[in-house]
Amino acid sequence: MAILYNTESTLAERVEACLDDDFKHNAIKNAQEAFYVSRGRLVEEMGDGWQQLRMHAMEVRNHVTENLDYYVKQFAENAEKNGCIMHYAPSGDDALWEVLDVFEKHGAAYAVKSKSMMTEEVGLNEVLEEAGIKITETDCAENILQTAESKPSHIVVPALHFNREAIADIYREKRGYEGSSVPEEITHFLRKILREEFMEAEVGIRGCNFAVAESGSVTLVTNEGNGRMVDTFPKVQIVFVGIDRIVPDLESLDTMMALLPRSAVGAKMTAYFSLDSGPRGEGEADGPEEVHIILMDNGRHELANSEFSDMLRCMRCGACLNICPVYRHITGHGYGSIYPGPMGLVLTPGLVGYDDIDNMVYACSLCGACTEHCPVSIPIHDLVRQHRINIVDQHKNHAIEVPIFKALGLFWSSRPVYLAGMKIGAPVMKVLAHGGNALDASSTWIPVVNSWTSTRDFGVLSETRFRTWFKEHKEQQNNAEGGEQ
Amino acid sequence: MKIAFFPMCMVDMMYPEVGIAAVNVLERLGCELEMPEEQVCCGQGLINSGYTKEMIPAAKMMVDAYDRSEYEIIVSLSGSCMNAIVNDYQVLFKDDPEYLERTRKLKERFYEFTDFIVNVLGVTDVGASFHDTVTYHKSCHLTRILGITEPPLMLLQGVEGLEYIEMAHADRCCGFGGTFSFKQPVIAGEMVYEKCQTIIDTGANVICGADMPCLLNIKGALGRMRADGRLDRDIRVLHIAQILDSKE
Amino acid sequence: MALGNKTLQDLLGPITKQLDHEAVAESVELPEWEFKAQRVTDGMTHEQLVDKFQEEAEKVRTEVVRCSADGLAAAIAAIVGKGVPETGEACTVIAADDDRFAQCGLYDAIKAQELVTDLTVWDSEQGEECIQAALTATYGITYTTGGIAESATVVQPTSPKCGRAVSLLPLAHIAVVDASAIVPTMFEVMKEYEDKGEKLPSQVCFISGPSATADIELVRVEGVHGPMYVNYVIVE
Repeated sequence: MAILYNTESTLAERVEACLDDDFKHNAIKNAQEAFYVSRGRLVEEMGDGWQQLRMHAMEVRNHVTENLDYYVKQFAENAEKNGCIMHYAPSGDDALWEVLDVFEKHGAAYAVKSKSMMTEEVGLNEVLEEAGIKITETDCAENILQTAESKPSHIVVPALHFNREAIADIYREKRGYEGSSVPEEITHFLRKILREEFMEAEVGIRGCNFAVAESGSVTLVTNEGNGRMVDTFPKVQIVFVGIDRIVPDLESLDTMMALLPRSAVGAKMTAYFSLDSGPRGEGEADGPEEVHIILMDNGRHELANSEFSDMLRCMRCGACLNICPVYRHITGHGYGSIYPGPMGLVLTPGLVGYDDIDNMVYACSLCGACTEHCPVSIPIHDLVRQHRINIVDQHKNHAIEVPIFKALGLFWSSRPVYLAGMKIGAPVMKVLAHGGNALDASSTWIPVVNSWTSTRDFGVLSETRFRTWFKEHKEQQNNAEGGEQ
Repeated sequence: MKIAFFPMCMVDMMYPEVGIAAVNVLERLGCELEMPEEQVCCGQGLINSGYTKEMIPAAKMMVDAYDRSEYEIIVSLSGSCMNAIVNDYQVLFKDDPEYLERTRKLKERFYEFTDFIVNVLGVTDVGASFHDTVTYHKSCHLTRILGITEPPLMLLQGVEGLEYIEMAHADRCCGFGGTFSFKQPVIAGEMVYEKCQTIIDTGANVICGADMPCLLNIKGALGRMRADGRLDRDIRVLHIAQILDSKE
Repeated sequence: MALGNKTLQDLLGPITKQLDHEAVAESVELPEWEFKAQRVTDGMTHEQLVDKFQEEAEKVRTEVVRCSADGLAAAIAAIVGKGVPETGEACTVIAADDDRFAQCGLYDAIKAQELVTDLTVWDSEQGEECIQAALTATYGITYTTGGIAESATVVQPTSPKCGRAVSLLPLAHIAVVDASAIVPTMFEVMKEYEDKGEKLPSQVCFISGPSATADIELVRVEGVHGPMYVNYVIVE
C-alpha cells in the first residue's frame, strides 16, 4: 500500500467521508470501548507493577536504540548462525528486490501472508501481484479487506467498517460462500478455504513483533493461528523484520509480552506467541526448510538520535488508537496512512517527511491520552507537536495561516495591542451577538470565526475586564484598610 | 498568605465573573492576592500550532511578570495554561539558559487553584452551598499532565447540598485543543457533541470544570444543541470557582 | 544506487553515522536495569501457582483436569472417549511420540476407546502422512515442557517427535503439562533457555487457549486456523 495510501484526497474530505458512515463510526467507537474496558481491568489488576513494567520496557528499548547498530549486527549474525538467510534492506525498494529474488530463485508463484505492517509499508502485495505471484492474506480481517479490495480502519481489527452482512456478501460473490451472515459461520468458512491455501502455498510471508539479538530469534504474536500456519507449512519463509523490532535478550521478551497483548487487545496473552530460531531442525517434519530474513530500515535510522528517537520504542500495539478521542471519530481511514492514530501522526511524517501528509499532524487536540496509555511511555502528543514545530521551522506550513499566528503572537504579548483589541472587539462582538452573549448559528458568515461557529456558539468579549475589576477591588481594599488606620 | 494570582487571558477577556469568584474564595480563605499588570497571555496556542518563535515574547512577558521574589506562591485559574508555563516553556527556552532557569524556579511556586486550596491551604470545605446536581469535566492537561485529579472532586464534595454525578469518560477530551478547534472544526465538533451527550446523560443540571477554555467549548455546543432542539433543558456551565463561591 | 544485494555494512553504516558512533561497538554490556516490575504471581507458593494457572486457563475457555502420573492415560482417554466435542461423533486422534505417553499406556488407552476410529503417533519419517492425519484429526495430544501461571500459557517446542502440526491442525488440542513445570511468568521460561545457552529449538510456541478472532463485528469466534477447543491436563 505504501505508507500514504490515499494522497489524492485531503484530510478534510476523508474525515467528512468517515463521519458520514454511521456504521463504521459506531463500530470503531464500540471497539475502543471494548478494548478500553478489558485493558483497564488488566492494568488495574497489576497495581504498581504496570508502571514498573512500562519504565522497564522504556529503559530496555532505549538501551537498544542507543546501541542500535550493535544490536542490529548482533541479531543479524546470530540469526545467520541459526541457519537463516539474511537480506539487508536499507530501503523499502531493496526489500522488494530481495523478496522478488527469493521467489525467482524458487520459481515460486504462490504465497500466503500473515499480517505484517512492514510489508504494507513497502506495498509488497501490489508488487508481487504485478510480478504474477498470487498472495493471500490469511488474517481473517486482512483476508476480508483483500477480498473486498478495502483498507484497514483499525490497526488490530482492521475490517470493522464492514458489517456481517457485507462480509457474507463479499464471500458469496468472490468465493462461492453459501452460508449465513453469522460471524462464526463465516469464520469457519475462512478456516476451510484458507487451510487449502496454507497447504498449497510455496512461500510464507510474515512479520516479526520482536527480534531477539542474543539468540537471533524472531517472534510472532497472533490470536487466530494464521501466523503459525504460515510458519508451519510453506517450505520457504520470508520474515520481514524492522530494525526497530530488536530486544537485547530473551528475558526482555517477557517484559514486552507482558505489555503488548494487554495494551493491544486487553488480554494477558494472545492465543499464540511463537519464538522462531532458524529453519526446521534436523529430523523435523514441518516448519520452513528455508528462512529468509529481510532486515529493513526504510528511514527508521533517522529517528535515532533525533527529537523523535522515543518513537523507536513503539511496539505497534494500538493502545494509543484505542484511547484517542480523534481516532474514534475519523477512524483509520481518516488519516490516509497505514499508520493511523496518534502513533501514526508521529511515525508517518517521521518516515515520509512533511511534503505529502496534508494536515495530518493537526488532527490531534494534544490531550495526552495516548501518552498516558502508551506501554512504552512515548510522549506521543509532545512528538506530534514537535512535528508541527518542525513544519513551521521548515516553512512547510500553509502560507495563509502565518499572518494570523504572527498577529496572535503580537496580540498575546503586547498590552497596548491587547487592550486596543479588547476595546474594539467587545462592542463589535456584542453587535454580532445581537446584544446577547454568544455568537450563535447566525454568525457562520464571519471568516475564521465560522470554523468555530459552524458547530458551536462562541462566547463574546466582556465589556468589563477582570483585570479592571481586580484593580478597583484592590483600591477599595486599600482604602478600607487606610480608613481603619 | 501573599499570593500572586494568574487568571488566564480568557477569564480576563470573556469571563470576569469567574475570576471574581476565585478571588472571593481565596480571600475568604485568608489569602492576600496580588496580580501583576503587565501580562496578557501565556501563548500556549502558538506552540501547539508549531509557532515557537512567535510565542517567545508572550512567554518572556509571562516570566518577567511573575518571576519576582515577593511572589512566593502563584495560583493559576487554569490547568492548561499552567502546564504551558511550567512545562512547555522549558521546550521554548531550551536555548535560553536565563529564561530556562527562571521558568524552572517559577514551576516550583506555581499551583493550580483547586490543588492550592486542598494541598497548600489544607481546606476541602470552603463554606459554600450549592443545592443542585453537578457533573465535572476532567480537563486533559490538568488531569493527565499535571496529575491533579482529586482536589476538584474533594472540593465539590465539601459543598453543602451539592449532589455530584460522575459522567462517563469524564477525562475524555472535549475537543477544544486551542487552535485545534479552529483548524479541525469538524472533528472538534464531533468530539464536543459526544462530550455534551455524556454530560446530558448524567441528568445533572450543572456541568463544571476547572479550565475555562474547555467550558467555553462545552457551553458553545450545549447552547447550539439547545437552540436546534437536540437538548430540551437548560444546563448551566460553571467554573468550579463559581460553585465554591456560591451560597445557593 | 542499485537495488538489492546490500550487505550488512550497507545497512549498518547509516545507523552508526546517525548515532554519532565511530564504528559499531565490539561489545555492549547490558546495564543494570533500574526497574523491576512486581507481578501478580509474586510471592505465590507453588500450589497457588498451579491454581492460578488453572483459574486463568478457565478464563480463556480452556478446560483443565488434574491427574497423577499414573492417571494420565485415563484422564486423556476420558476426554477423547467422548468423541467429537459437542456432537459426540466418532473421532480421530494424533499424538506426539513421547516416552511418557508410551510408559503410561496412553496409546493403548486411546485405541481402546469406542469412539476413536484412528490414532496416529507423530513420526517424522512419515511427515506428509502425519500432517494429513493431523488435518482431519479431532484431537492433537502433546506433552508440553512447561506452563506459565500468570497467563495460563503452555510452552510447546517443536521437535522431531512432536511436529508443529500436532498442536495446530486438529479441532481440539490436549496439552499435558507437569505441575512441577508451572512457573510464575514467561521470564522464568526465558531465563531457563538463556541459562542453557544452547541453540533454541526451531520453534517454541507459547499457547494460551483456543485459536480465536473478533474480526467480524467484534464477536468472539473460536477455532479460526488453530484448535477450537483446548484442554490442559496437569500432571501432579
